[in-house]
Amino acid sequence: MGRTLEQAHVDIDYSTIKQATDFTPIYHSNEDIFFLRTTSPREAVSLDWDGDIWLRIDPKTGEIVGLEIADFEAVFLKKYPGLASAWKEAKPLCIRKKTGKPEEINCEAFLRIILEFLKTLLRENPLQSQFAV
Amino acid sequence: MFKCIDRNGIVIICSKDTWENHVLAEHPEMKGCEGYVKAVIEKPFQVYQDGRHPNIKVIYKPFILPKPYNLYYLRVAIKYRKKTLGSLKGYVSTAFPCMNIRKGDILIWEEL
Repeated sequence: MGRTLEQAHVDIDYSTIKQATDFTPIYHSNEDIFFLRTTSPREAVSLDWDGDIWLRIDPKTGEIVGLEIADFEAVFLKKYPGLASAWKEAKPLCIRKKTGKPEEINCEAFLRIILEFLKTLLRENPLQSQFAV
Repeated sequence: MFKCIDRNGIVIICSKDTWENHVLAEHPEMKGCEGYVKAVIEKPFQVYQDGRHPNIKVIYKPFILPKPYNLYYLRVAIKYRKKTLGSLKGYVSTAFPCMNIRKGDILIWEEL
């Protein structure tokens, strides 16, 4: 992870990553940014995870309420090609429209794949030795 | 939405579209924080070169946002572009509170 200012002030509950299967995947194609979040976005502070992912943390509860991945297709999927084929199927459902209410998205399989990936990523980070999902 | 000048004298623009459809749409905690973003651009604490994009610089400043984000950094990313026959301008691409500096961002300036 990058240098930390006040990480110790939030007791991050990494087990809440399990909620990710209920999140909504949204892709901003113009900016190449992928978001996974509650249908209505919640206020949060972001934590850089190894330069790849911003975990969005509720500063009051420590819950993980979403994540943000910049340069998703240009960098992230090339670094983690195992996700690329699943993304190819899910992408058309995740493109964000600027107007109107988000459509109901059925991305259950993709979300399960993403969750497994995240669990592995967080567990394997040596700085997160207390992580347990 | 707003314009300001960065520490190098370059005009920085934050469009209404960026503010509403990217910053607020995905970072609702930034509602009402335009003034803090402007203040960080005008008087940064640290300026980083984005490790992936040569035309993007990232500004960090701690302790500027209101509670409950007052202990964190405000991170503002600015994309610089020079149009033909035009001058170099910067465009805010995102802004949000964060706990740490992103790995890969390269420190190029800091307030002494």
